[in-house]
Amino acid sequence: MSTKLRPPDYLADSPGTTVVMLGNQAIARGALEAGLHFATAYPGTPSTEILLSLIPAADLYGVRVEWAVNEKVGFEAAVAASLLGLRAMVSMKHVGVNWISDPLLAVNLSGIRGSLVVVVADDPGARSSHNEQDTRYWGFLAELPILEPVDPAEARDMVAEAFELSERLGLPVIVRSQVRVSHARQPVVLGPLSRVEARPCFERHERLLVTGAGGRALRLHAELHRRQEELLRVSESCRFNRLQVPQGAEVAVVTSGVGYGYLQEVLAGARQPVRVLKVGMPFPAPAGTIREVVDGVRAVLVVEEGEPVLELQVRAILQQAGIGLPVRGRHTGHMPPVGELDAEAVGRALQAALGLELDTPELPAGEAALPPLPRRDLTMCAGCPHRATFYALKRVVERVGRHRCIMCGDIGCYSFGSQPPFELVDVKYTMGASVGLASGFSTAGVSDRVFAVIGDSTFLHAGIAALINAAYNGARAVVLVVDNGTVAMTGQQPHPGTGVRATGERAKPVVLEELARAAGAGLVWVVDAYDIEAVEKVLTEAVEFDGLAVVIARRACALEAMRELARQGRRPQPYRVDEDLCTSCQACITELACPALGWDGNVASIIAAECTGCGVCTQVCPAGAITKGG
Amino acid sequence: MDKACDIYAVGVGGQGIMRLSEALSRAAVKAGLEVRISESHGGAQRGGVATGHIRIGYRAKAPVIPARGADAVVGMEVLEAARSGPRFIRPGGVFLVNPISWPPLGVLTGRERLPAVEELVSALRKVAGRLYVVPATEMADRLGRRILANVVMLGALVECAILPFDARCLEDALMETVPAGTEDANREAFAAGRAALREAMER
Repeated sequence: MSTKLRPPDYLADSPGTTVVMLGNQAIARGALEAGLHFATAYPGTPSTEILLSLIPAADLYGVRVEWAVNEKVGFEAAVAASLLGLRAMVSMKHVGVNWISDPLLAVNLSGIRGSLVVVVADDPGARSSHNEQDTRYWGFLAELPILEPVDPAEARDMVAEAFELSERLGLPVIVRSQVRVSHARQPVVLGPLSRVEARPCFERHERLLVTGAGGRALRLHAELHRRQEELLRVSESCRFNRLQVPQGAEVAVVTSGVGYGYLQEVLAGARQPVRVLKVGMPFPAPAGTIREVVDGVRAVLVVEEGEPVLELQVRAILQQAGIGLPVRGRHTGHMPPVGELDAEAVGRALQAALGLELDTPELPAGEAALPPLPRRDLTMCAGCPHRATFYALKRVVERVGRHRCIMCGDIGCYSFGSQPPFELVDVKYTMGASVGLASGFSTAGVSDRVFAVIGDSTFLHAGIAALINAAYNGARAVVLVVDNGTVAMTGQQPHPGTGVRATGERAKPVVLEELARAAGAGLVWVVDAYDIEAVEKVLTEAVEFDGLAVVIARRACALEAMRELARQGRRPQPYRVDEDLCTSCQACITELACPALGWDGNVASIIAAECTGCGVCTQVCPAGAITKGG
Repeated sequence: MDKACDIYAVGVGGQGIMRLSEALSRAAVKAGLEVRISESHGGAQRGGVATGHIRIGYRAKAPVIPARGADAVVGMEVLEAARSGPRFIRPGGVFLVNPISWPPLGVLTGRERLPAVEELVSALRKVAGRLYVVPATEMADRLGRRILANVVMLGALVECAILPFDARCLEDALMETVPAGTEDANREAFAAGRAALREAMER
């Protein structure tokens, strides 16, 4: 007999209750209130909690919840669910859209059935990403509607609305969240959950054969162009538009998303009235409403988070209408060209672009006569198996000659291998790129030794095709797969190699070594990442191998291992430094830099509360001064 | 009566900034006030900086506190408090600081120098209207649970008399967020923080 699961408060079926929820929980809630049937995602900050929040909904409300192997496959799965007439959602971080762009630019032509909502969380300021690309640009390319919430409460409403809109239009709808919505918390009044029974049923239609003969792609493209008028009408009447037309206003601001939040706060201290149009759909921008709000003003400022997506449209709309007003924003230098928006930037723009006077002038930064502060970069955690692997890799690379090795890095916790004390990354782009680069460096004819370092989930996401390419084209390279059995960077989500699904049931685990052999690697080794000597030996062989070598350094993520110990009611057994044996050489600290190691000025020490008992430092200490026992 | 209050909390991953924010937000809802929080996620577990912008009351429209707009800064770690606290503390605001520092990687590997806690605290005194040193980690250690340093700090914060709700309201809210079985320890840490601030004010 199963016990009834108590839902987390943001998933409760109790309309009218106020719950303080995370933006990503609000997005999940909105989908459930719209009758969600199918949800999938690949983890990525700041979007991960959207799917995480939906996992309990699998048992509670019968929603199908999946982690996808990558964004593209997830998107395709969600498209399929919609083609069965279901309500489907796929969520990802902004760079995930680069992966889905290929099928997205075909599905926009075919259209969908049911509904398909693509939620994208942008990262303006690029705190957790390799860039700060603005998802709203995809609107121009895909000619699809984009909704942009200002805060968690509106995100809930917009996601629910996006399902309705998608179903009505028969098109995918994109919701652009961003870190200050996804990772903000706010009280949200719960609405009723909608539970439309899923009746999956496929209907054949020639539209679904987008690439078919007879100019179908052109016909569908022309049709999508024609439908832009319809999207524009939706944008004009969008219930998330806010129009303020105070008496005597001589200037106007057009804004969307979080920009509206900063604007409201700064305008509270403005001495002159300002017309404000906040749009719910930054693509396509509501041309008629924009013409209306600027009628009779002397200047327009566009306030938006990200690129000048709205600004470009406002300028085009006014030009088309023969309105010769100055439109100011990022392109005119009135808003900062890069980075995250803040109230100060909006305040400065209102003064410089519109000549407003503010009651709350910007205050100078606090004058603290501070000494130079050491930087705090992210580091590998105490007990991280990647640290041991990088230690061994460094010894091997230094024997070859560091300057004779090209080190290709990838996306994940192991990208910290670029930092001291390892500094083992020379080039790093995006998911899976390490292996593609290694393939090209080798086959393009460089005589240096070529390495790729890639994590298990990234390998499955985007590394396999590159590995096949490397093997097929005869690359000589060492591909080091640092396999900690989880998507660690985003908080330990399972993946196909873990052998556990999002909702906890077992799946047949993908065996990376079998995959590597099948891809055509000439040498495949699996080794325990904590065993430095063994990793070094295997890597040395791999470097000498005249072909494509794959080394899988395997050991569970330390955070996951600690959690597993705690589940068993056990604690790690920390190591300690024997002060009589410590020679003060600091090798453990300077060569490993484990956060559990300390230095009191005379001898090394181990912070028992931090130590995971991995024992890697005992292998590094030349004096044998590190022993078990707290 | 001005029911608005902006609190900037900063520390390093694992110090409980999110729990602290959550308790304050629940208290605000109990008091019938608007609230919004902006958190830094991702990477905090890997030795990164953790921040929380806790915005209570009508002013809360934007997700983050404007420069020099925080009524209080709660610094759970002195190096991070010194790095970003001065940007946010408003003239005359209250600055609470836990006098511990977690050395970053560059310090561990001997490439950079870690300034002394006292040096940083005295520099911060010049930017805050009031600065109180609350040895939250040390006190939590004495209670046998280092993880409760954030609760000690919450107790200290409520004693500063800047929050638009009372200590009882905050304590009740806090209790909603703590794991079952840890209620007594949390109450004890909360009370210890209140007492520590009262003592600091008398000095």
